[in-house]
Amino acid sequence: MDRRQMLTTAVLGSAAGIVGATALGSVGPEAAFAAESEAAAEPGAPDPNYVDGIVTSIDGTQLLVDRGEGVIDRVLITQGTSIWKLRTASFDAIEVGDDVAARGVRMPDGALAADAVWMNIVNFFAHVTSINRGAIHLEHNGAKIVGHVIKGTTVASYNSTPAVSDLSPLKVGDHVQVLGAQRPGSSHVEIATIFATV
Amino acid sequence: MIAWSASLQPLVIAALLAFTGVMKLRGNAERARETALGRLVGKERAAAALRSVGGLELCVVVALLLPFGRPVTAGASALLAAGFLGYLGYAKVAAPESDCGCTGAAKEPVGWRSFARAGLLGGLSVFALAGALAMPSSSWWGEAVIAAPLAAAGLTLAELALFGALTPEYDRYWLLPMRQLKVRLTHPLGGFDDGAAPLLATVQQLQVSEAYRQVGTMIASDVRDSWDEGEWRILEYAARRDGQRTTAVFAVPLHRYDPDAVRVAFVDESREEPVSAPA
Repeated sequence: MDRRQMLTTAVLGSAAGIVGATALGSVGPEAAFAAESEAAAEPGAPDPNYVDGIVTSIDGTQLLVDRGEGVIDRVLITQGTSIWKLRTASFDAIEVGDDVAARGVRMPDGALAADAVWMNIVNFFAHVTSINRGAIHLEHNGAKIVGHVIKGTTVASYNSTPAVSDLSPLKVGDHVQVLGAQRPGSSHVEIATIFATV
Repeated sequence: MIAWSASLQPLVIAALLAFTGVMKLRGNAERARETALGRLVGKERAAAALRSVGGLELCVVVALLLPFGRPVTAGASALLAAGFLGYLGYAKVAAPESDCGCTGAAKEPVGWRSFARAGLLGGLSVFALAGALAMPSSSWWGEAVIAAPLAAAGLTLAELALFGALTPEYDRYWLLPMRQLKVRLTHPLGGFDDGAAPLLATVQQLQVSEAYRQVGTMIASDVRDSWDEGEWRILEYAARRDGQRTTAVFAVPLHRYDPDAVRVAFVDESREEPVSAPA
């Protein structure tokens, strides 16, 4: 039984909710979760369990992250970490130069064992200035941004209703919110979700 | 005909400068700080500098409308246009993302339209100056209008329309409707609907379910994996339960909206003891 089958059985099968997955082994370095950091953010202080910066190198499953002003942090990716890069992705999708936002728990050695990482994620409000095949041109605070539509990935949510893959209701002039992945160093964004009022 | 056209140009230039001058005078200080002028003269002095330029433009407007001194006033507007071009060149290099503040209202980074506007102003000014110098006895703009009012109106409107096409403030009147029409006719996003249920729609249904409300505080990650199983979509998350790392698995109806049907199970993949589902 592969892992997906086992999890499917767990939630849909007769033994729903009761599973001991001994055959699968550990999901990741146990030390990462053996002792959660007791550190709590002081009011106004940076959240110690959150890291945001540029990936400067990848060593095994550890990312070295430049947080600016000379601060380098370590983010550990485990088998339990969710990885988002426009869509749910695997560790192989992470590249040097990516912007990473990571949330997790601090290990005793100071590294952040990530529960979730989001690569190159952007979230902004904009106006639609024009629409071409495969691209929605946006203006955000006077800056022009090209939003690329990715078939099978880009979806839209209209009037706060559940997301659909039909983008045709979008109009030039619409005020929209865009969630997507920026192509590093460029004004191009691959759109995951576009929220609009139509 | 050329002499008549040159005689008319001070009126057109005056209209252009009146628009840009008034817009600069009406602009607020905060906007002025964000322009490339803020980089050139300092943010604290940007608003005063922008209004000074606007005032200067209005002075040139008044001079252009007078029936005398045409070479001088046309020369002044040509110098003003040259100054604008120089400023735009500086802005393009020093603050390419900044608005030039040229027309005061709409925010648009320095681009080809900014240069074309200044170039149009300069071209018209040089044309007017050349006409005034080559034919000192030619009529001033008021006489040119009286001599051929319809032609004067047509030429003036055509030149102002060209300026308007280069000005972001007027995009909503012509560029936006044109682009909307193009989208209506060509449906550029029509082929991107693959008919599949988006993952986000599943997550949205999950998040309003009673099952998720019961265990939401235990969820530690974003979606780690997802797949479809018959009428269900399975979503996998990392979770923490009683201080232990576990996997939360949700089954969400795939083709119907029924949050009450959402199921959840916790799977401990690191220990041998079974983990019970929440009550």
